[in-house]
Amino acid sequence: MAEMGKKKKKNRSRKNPAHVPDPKRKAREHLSAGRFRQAVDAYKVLCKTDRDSFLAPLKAAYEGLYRQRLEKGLFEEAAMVVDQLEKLSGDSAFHERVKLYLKREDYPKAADAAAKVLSAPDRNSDKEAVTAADALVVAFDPVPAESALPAEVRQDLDRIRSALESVAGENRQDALERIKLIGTRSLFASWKWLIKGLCAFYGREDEKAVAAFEKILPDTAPAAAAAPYLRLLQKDGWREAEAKDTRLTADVCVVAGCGASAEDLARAEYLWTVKRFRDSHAHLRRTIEDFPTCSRGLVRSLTELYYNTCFEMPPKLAQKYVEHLVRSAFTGKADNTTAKIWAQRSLALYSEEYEDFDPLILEHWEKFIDLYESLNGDSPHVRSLVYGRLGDLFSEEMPDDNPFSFFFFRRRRKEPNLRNIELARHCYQESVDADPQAFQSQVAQVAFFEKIGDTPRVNRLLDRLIRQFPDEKEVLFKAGIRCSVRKAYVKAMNYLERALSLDPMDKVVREQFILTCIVAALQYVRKTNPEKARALLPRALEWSDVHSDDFNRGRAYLYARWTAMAHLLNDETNAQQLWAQAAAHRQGSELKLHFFYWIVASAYGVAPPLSKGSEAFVKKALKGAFSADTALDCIRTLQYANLLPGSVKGLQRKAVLVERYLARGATAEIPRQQAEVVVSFTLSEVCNRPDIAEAYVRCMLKQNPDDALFRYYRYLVRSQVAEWYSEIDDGEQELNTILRLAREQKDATVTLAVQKMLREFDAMPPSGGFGGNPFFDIDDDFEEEGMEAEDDDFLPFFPSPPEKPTPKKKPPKKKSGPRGPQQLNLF
Amino acid sequence: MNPYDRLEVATDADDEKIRAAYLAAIKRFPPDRFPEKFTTISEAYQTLKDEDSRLRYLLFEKAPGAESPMDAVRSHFVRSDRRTPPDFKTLKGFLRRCAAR
Repeated sequence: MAEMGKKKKKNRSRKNPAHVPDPKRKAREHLSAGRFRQAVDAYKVLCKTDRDSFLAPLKAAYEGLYRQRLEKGLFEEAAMVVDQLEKLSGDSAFHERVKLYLKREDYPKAADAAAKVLSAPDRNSDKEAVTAADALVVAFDPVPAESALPAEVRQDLDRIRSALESVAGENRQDALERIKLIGTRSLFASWKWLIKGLCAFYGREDEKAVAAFEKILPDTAPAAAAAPYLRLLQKDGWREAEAKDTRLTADVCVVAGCGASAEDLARAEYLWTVKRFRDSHAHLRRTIEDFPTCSRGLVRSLTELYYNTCFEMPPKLAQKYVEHLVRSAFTGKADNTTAKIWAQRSLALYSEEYEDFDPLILEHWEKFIDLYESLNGDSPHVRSLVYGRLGDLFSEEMPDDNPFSFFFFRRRRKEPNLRNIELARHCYQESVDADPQAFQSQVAQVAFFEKIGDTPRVNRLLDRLIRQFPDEKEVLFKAGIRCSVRKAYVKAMNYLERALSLDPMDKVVREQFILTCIVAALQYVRKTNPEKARALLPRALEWSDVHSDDFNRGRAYLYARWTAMAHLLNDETNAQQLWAQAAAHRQGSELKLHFFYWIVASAYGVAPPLSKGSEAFVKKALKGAFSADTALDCIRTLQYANLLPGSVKGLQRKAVLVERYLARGATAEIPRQQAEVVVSFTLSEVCNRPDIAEAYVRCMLKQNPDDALFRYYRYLVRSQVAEWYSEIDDGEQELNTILRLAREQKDATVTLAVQKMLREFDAMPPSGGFGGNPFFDIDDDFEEEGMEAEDDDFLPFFPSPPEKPTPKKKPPKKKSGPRGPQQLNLF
Repeated sequence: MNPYDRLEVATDADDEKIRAAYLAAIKRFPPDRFPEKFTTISEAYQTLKDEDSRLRYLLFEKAPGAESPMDAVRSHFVRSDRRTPPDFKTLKGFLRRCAAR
């Protein structure tokens, strides 16, 4: 074949008699293509015929060849090329020699050549002069006295050198003083800006530093020196091209003070950028002795990066990465306990996200504690924190396993569905035992016992906590709530007042105190102890909110409650005064206050004639023309009364009046926001009147058929009205339409709700057969007491690791801050 | 961004330094003008305010704190209390390498 090819070539040239090689064109092509050796050879031949025409391109070819040799580190060859250049031009090529000497790190010769360049300024370009000035600076050798260097150049050079010494010696002021006299037109102006930038940078004046560095001439030594500083000040991440430029990354390490590890960090960065995370970690483990570390400093930052990055990776990659961390720490010759601690920590945290078998998570953390203590000695605080965290984890409330339960089961579970009660109990105990002074662990333990309804234990622990931490607001608050629940109101108020003395601005504690005052006053009223009941009003008012229309904190409503209590005590004069106060302090509508008082009076057992005025006011309002404001006031008052635990006497009859009123207004045009309140109320379990809701929805959709929210409500109405929502396909289609509209209208609440419903549609297996029908498996028997406990029997003792790790269904995130007030039965 | 970066303090800063950094940050970003920034600063302070919080952060924090090794170098250096220049010998070597390019 090769033979054939050659023949073809020969034939082709034979067929083209016009083909004559053109040496000029060839030489030009070599030069422009960067083939300088061939270009030099070609132009040498051409120079023999016409020296004047081809001398310039020959010199250019030599210069290119010189640069190429220099880049490749072939300094001897570069020197020979410079010799040739000098022969050709009949003059000294000092500029090229300067560069060559700098590359060869022969600084005295570089300075000598540079001095010669600057001694004859007229014959050199500005760029050559600047390169020479750079060479003089970095030579850091005194310039010989016999040199013909101009005096001003000599002076500026001395200033720059001494200023650089001052920068390194952390004498920034001195450095700035020294460069003051260097002009902006000086050959050393770029050095002046570099020094200014360095002084600003090390003085933490980053903006000033950037401004100075940006004034440096490009392609000069100061510009190259400023580059890593500018990179350090950039906040965005390293790009792949930058990571490949190991020179820049190494320079950054030098100026950041980790020059010793510069090359290793540059390599690790490159591996990281090309997503070879495990190799990057392995490289640092091999090359940086104290990596990983628990101590402060740069290596600690690197440790956090490498041992936490798995939590930002996709599951499969994360699993492989964690396996690598564990393998690299626990196998191999080097026994590095710190590496084991970090790897074990990553494994334990990883298992929290992906492991289903709780004892294994506990085991991973216990191994972590052992390793930590083997390095640091007994660490009760760390032990307590770890067990406390595990207690929190195992006592998290789990979401319902069955996505359809909201549809089928209306009854509430008697016990909370905690993740693992036994392990939670064990871990909290371990946490408290490890560090009996750990306040948070003990508070968390109390919260856990509250969750599982172990009241005697809660009371015991709180008594102990009060003794141990008499000045902790959180404990006093919890103790106050416990006492309220136990109906020890005086004690409760004392605890809450102590908590308030520690933080008078805590709204939650203030509200809890008011609630306790109300129930305590009611108790006194029922025990016919009027003095004590009356005395509680000023205490409650002290912590109430003057400008609030809140039913618990608002002053008007407090006066209204005490009015009802005064009626119960047959103290009509006081009742009248209190009612006048209520009216005077009213922040919301008159109707709201009257409706509230009417509800309160009948709930407390006030004789109906004594609340006739309020009753008449409300009835008159509800018989009048429909108004959205009236509807909303009544709804909010009813909603408040329904929030309270236990049933409120006579509430149902009052609710019927409001429902009738709402039904009357269904055709009225009301603002969208108010229609939303009405619909959500009428759809709620409290009202449960989907027929009224539907009328409002229809009205709103008449105005805007594409209103995502009201189409969503229409879907809910249909689901609620239909005994069996048979048109599942239509339903799904409608949900998809609502989702599209909600996204267009940027309604995040509807979007999330519909997405959830659609996921449930997707999760529903095709019907048919016993196992396939999701509704067949859901049996009310599972709700019976004692049946749930059997679920534990299905837990495998030694589960195999998951093939494909998938994040566990996370329970709703716990609120970290302190708690809301415990709503007491105030009626 | 990790809480040390948010408050612009070194990882070895003590309670006093962290509090000072927090106060300086909220002075720069008052809640009425920068509500979101203020929230992130307050959260960062809550995470680091005492030894106990910092220990929790060390034990259980899952945020890597940086995007890459060089980003870790950068953020560590930029937020450190004191920036120390390289000694004269190192500076000289560094500048000579820069000049040879």
